[in-house]
Amino acid sequence: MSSVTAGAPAPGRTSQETMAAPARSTPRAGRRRPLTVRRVGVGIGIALLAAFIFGPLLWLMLWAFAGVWHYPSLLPQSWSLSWWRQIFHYPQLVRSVGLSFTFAPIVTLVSAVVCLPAAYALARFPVPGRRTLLVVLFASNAFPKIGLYITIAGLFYALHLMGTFFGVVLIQLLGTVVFMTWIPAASFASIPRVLEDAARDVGAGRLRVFFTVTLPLAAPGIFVAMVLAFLASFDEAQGTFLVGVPNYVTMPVQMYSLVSDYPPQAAAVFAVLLSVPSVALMLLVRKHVLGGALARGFELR
Amino acid sequence: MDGLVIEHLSKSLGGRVVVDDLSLRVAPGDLVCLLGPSGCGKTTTLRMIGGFLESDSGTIAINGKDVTTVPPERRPTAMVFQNYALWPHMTVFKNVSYGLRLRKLAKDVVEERVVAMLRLVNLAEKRDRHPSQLSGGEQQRVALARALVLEPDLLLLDEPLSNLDAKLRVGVREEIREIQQRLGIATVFVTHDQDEALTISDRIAVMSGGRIEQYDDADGLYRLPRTSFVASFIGVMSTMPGRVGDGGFLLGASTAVVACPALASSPGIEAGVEWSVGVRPEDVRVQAGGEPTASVVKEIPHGHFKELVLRLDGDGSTALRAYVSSETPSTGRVSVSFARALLYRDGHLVHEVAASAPVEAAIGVSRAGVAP
Repeated sequence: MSSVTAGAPAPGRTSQETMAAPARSTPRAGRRRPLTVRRVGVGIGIALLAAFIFGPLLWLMLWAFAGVWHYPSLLPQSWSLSWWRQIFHYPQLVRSVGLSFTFAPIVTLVSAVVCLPAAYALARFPVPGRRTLLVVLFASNAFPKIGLYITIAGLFYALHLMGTFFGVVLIQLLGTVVFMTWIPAASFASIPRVLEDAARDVGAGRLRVFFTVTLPLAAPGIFVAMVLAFLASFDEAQGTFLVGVPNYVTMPVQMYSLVSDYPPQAAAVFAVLLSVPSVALMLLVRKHVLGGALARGFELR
Repeated sequence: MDGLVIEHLSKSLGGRVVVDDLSLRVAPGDLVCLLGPSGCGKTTTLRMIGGFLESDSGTIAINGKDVTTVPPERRPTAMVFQNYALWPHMTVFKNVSYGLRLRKLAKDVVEERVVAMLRLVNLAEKRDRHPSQLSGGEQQRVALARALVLEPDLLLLDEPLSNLDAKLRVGVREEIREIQQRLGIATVFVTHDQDEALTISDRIAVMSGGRIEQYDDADGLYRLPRTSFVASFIGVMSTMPGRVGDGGFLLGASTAVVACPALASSPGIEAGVEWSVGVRPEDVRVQAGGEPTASVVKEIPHGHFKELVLRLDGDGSTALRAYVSSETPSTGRVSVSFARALLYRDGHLVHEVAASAPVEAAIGVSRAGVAP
């Protein structure tokens, strides 16, 4: 390795590129300069974005393990696990963890049962007003939810759904309908119809074709939709707060009282707990999300 | 056993008549090609035979049973789709065994039949691969195996070779023909490639505008195309307006007479009537000597023969194509004569001008075999 022969490294270059430079011919190295500047720019951009996303999380983690932390110190003056102990011994908080993990899977399943047939129909049959329906579904997420929930609350009182288990499932279901329809609909639509024809040709009835050909091929998209529905239900606070309190206080609802009634450490511990399933599930499906199933789901067709 | 019988089949799609009162018979064990340009209704016809499209009117019967309203899963047909339509989430074995497993056969019977079929298409060692791991030709053979393993009464092939490269296509079509003949399975093969149709079919139905123009074997189609559409679609034919006179033809605006000795043995052709005269390139005789009647515009070598594009004297519009041996000298000015010609009026064949065949009788024979 004779990295010295390249002469002084150009400003703005990383050491790695300087090492690599002698391997290339001189004119090419000259042409690479603007690219390097661009790379540095991109690097700075990524660093800023990472700080923007992970900064608050880092701050949250610090708080979760902080004993005493006063301004202007950059790090807590003392560390402590006491809030973790307290949270796990506080029955109301433990119950809310259990409730969150009960509602989320139930809402996900109910949502799948309700939305998947609709998604299939939208993808496969010439449903009149299909496009309008998809846009309306999307638009329902565009308005402030709390207004919608207040109106629904009126309806729920009349139907005696306030404070009931079913009422909470119903209100959480609302937030999942968009993913649970759009993403699987795109998955179903992307399956060539001829694959279904081929199965019927060799003797399979419609139902069997659906379960042996269509559903397995749409599975990645459906899986992503279910994870997103799970997370939407798991994080849902406004509607649950309105409909469920005081009988059904889930983790995100509990956050409200923690933030107002307890020191920041308690809220931080709880927030960390709340983000564990989200992070775990997102890591699980990142292949499918990056692979385009999610992007495809939001294509307007 | 009476094979496939289609009667008066019609279908409109989006306000356009795609299949127009079509009737067709396929004898058991025969391979029949539906040949035509894209949009002629051949694939629509095939999809109706397979049960994927409902006909507007007409009937389809297979081996005596009316299947017009029977859904695809209960028809005794098996289809090979244009893009093979293999299920990407199943292995080769699973793809081929899918239909048999539905029929509730014992596991070892399924295994035995699938393995035998994979051996037949030369894919026994690829049984645990997924379709994406196979080449185009191999996928095509899996699709064929998947259809054949069910021992259908009727095999349907929808342009099965159009996704293969030219060299592979020739090999695979011979393979398909061989397997089809070995199993003696009645087959309908859709293609737009006349070479493909001419080489593997027992009979060919040339389609245009949702109708069958002519239903005949390869030889009949080439020798006596009954309509000018078939004449232009099958092989190469030079067609030009012309009259009979002076023992030859007066073609287009040309003033020179193109000799045709066979006219002498074809009495009863009205002189002075305007025909559409069709001549195959191999029936055009080109001589350097004699009184020149045409000039050579272009010379295209084809290896063991060459193709000449000729322009008749005094006529700028018609290009006459001739196949001549490579040794034939092609100077600028030549004399041209026809050994054989076909005369059309209103798009239909009226006379065959040939030294040997009494014309009307030959056309009569070819007509007898044509579906109404």
